[in-house]
Amino acid sequence: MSASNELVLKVRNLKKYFPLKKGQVLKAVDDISFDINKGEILGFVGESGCGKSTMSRSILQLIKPTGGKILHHGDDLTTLTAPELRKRRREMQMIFQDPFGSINPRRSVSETIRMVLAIHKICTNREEEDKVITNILKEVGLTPVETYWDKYPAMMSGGQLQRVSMARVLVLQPDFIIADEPVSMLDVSVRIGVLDLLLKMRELHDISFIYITHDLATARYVCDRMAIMYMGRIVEIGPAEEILQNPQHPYTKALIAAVPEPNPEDDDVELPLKDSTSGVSGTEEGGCRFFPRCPYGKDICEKSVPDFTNIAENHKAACFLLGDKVKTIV
Amino acid sequence: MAILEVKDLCVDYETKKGTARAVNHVNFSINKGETLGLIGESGCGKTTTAMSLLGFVSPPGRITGGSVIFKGEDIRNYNDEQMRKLRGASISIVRQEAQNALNPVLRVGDQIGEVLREHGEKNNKLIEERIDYQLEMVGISPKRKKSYPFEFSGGMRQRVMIALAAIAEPDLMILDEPITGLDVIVQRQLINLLAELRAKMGLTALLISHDLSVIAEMSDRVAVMYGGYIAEEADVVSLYKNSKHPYSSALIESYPRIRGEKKTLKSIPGAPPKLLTPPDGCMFADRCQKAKDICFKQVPESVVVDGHRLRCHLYSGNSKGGV
Repeated sequence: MSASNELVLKVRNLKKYFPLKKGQVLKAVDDISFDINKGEILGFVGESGCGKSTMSRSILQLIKPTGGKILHHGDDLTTLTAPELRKRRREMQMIFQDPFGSINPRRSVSETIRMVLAIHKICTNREEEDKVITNILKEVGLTPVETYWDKYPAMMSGGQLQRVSMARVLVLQPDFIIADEPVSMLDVSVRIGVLDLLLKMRELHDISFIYITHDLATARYVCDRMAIMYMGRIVEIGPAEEILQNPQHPYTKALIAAVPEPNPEDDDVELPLKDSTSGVSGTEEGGCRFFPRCPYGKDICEKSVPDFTNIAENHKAACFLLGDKVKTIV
Repeated sequence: MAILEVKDLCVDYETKKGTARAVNHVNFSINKGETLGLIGESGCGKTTTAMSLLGFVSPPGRITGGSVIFKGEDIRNYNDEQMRKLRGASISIVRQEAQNALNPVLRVGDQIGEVLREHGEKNNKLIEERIDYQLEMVGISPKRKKSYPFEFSGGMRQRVMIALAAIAEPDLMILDEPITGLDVIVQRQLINLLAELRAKMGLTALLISHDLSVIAEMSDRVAVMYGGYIAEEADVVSLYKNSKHPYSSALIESYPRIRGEKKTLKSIPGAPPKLLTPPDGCMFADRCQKAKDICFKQVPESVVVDGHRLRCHLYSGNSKGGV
């Protein structure tokens, strides 16, 4: 179950800036660093616009990062040539949020997967392809295989299509997958099925995952560790349970407090936030980005950007009020 | 007193391949000041039910049976003009992604003013005052009334939609997935806003959601819909603690949570029934762990057990207690 210590992906100081008018820049992803071990699932949790998706695209080189290193088994992806990168893509795959939009509606299930096999020249003949497709459909739970073989996306439910997405990615035997909100468009009753499949794939093939979501509850269900993102930066990162039971950053606390519980007897929740509106976009100079909304903000928070403070093993948060001052805010 | 009573409501959709019954003999009532939560998966008939309350079911859809008694009158007998007067004034709706329903080229304040004029207010000074009041009520500074919708965030736009729906102080507000698609913190702010409005205005509401936690936070009673009918209806606390219908229980067990101990969750195998070819028996039988022979053969009748009204063969024959 637990992840090994073999490093699959090492991201250092990743930045993606978008130019705006009047020489301003939008720092969509600003100085993000993290590691992922083999077979580990790391969740990135944050609200819309916090840079989660921009980050995953930068990692896969779908957009060119402004700065930083992305080391995949030691090779920096930002320095690879296009053909080298294309070969590498086989090992790094992505599952998208919208299963209805990310699968070609004109191709049947088997054709969709056959296409991927052809592009990456995985099989030498059609019989071999058929065998691979059959096996992968079984693996993702689209059985009996004959029923799904010739089905088109319009004939399938969101949960089934998300399984096709998984199958399409898994035939390439990648060693890490970025799953960008894979269940947020699915009904509650089928979500767990898809998440369980993700866990099973990790178990069977030792695949590492980056699980991107806005939903702390599903993140808790699948992730070993999670990183909380706010306006382009990681504000807190650590083991999933530790983050939920012992959150340190004021933003993490607000996020956890906001999540509604399926318990009608719960008390009303007052959000620990100063300002109800979300902060300005990531263009401002210096200072902690959460400062405008933080109920505990001090002078220093406005002037400089906080570094990470270690809280426990593997658990750190970027806030000036932590460390020895931690007691003053709780 | 029940403000709304829906009795045996049926809505059919005529398609080339046959008739699909989207709403299947649905019964419920909502008392004054009460919020009824209607929960179910996509395609279970939640929104169609809501649309029939407003007379918005249009071909190929058709209300084929039952009655919708609103304040003592069956609004199915209303003509178009009567329906038009009812909408907004007596029954209003906040729709899913209603934040996209604002007119992009009109200032927010003017859109509220437009609705006030439509409801008969002619005095411009009063209208301006009322715009300020409505915006303040939903937590938006009246200074922002000159802004266009694109200058507002999704959460603020949804606040404006709530202000619009509340403008005529309707007897019943339908909230159709009012916070779906918004960020967690914004969702919480809207839940708090709606709770506040309920306390202040004595709001009566039909809350539609697929999200167990939203329903738990905001409802007094809950009806669980599945395949077009109401599988179980009960008081909110009782439903979450002692759900009786296997579908309600499975739904609750499949829901991930962030507090308390981490549990293994169970997804519900299979998929909802195809309404064009409904099963002979219980809609849920195919996916039900407890299904017996009869469940596949006969549609379960509605029974009442310990204050839960439900349709399930496991409880047929021991009906007792009343809702």
